[in-house]
Amino acid sequence: MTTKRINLSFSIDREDDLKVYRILSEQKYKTDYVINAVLSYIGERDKGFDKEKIKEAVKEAIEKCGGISIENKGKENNSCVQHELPDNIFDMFDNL
Amino acid sequence: MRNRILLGLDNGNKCTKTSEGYISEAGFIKSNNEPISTSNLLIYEGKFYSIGNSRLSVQMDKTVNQDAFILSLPAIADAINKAGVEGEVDAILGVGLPIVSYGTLKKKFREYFLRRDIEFNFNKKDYKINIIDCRVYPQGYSSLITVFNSYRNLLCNVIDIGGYTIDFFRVENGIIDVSACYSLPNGIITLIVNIQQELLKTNIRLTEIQIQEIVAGKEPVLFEADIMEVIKVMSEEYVENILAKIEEYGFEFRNPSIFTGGGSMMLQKFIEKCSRVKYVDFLDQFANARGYKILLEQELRRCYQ
Repeated sequence: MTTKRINLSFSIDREDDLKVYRILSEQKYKTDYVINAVLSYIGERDKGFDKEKIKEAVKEAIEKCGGISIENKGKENNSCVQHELPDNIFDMFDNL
Repeated sequence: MRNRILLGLDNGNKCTKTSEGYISEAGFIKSNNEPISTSNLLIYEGKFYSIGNSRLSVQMDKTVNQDAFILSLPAIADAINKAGVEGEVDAILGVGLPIVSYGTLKKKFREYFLRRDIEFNFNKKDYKINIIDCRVYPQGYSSLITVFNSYRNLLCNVIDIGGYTIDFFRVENGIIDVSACYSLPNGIITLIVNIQQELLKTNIRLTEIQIQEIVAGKEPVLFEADIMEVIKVMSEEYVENILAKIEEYGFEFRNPSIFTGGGSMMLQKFIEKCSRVKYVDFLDQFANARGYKILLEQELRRCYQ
């Protein structure tokens, strides 16, 4: 049987952290409590999951960004740079 | 319509990299006869080149011989395969030079690549290409282009730790401060050689790649703690020294510092630990090549508008 352990840390200065820390501290069976809490959270979250709505939202965001450049597909940070470099950058190269 | 590819190509002293993710050690073994191994074998003008073997010695001016061109052919072949085009291909390259030699060498470097009717065979596949255009951009700055929007309104330091040189300069509001561009000949190769020399004193011979992996934190199990310690201490000292040197040139590390180049990737954990630097950002070893391609695309669009 394989057992994996995860350490959690809470910053007691933050209200939410403190609240969760207190709840977990009071639990006798902490692992069971966390398993149930996480699974029920995911279950609730996925109930309202509408793939098509998300697809539409992503499409709109991509269009606003100027579309996807196929040649740079999969490369981070590139697509939003397209169309935006000012002219003085290219003037600078001539003067270097 | 003819096939055409656009490619960002970074001819580093240590590695050749492209915007399409190709990487190979910048070296080859040349022979007149076909070698036993056909892996990464380039055949060009009747000669055989085993690409990726035995890194070549450092060259500041890469136009003095065919080496950089030879090393570029497999990179172009890789881009052709990734683009999925067949037959004769027109290639447009975006390449780079260190800022300090950019002004004097950019024209020569561009002309070095402009060639037509290039025929070669790589990994048993024939290619016919024409390099119809080539644009040259400053190294390091091209890396920054990939994250341009994050730093366009700031003053930042760009530090490119390459194989042979460390190039550093200031960028203010997206434009290079030409009065603050420097290059030091203490790239990562000097650290590796110094580590090799230190270990040789105790009769330990490690290859460049083994040392590289240990510095980068991929610790192989077969080495004892002493070796690790020597490498760790020397890497810490190296980072401390280069950052102190950069400060001497008037660079303020309270401004964001953007580290790029293969050397920066290798030394990331040591740079992050160093108390001299405040805000650091690391761009991967392909960032220059990706930046060349972004600049190339935009420049071509401007030309043909």
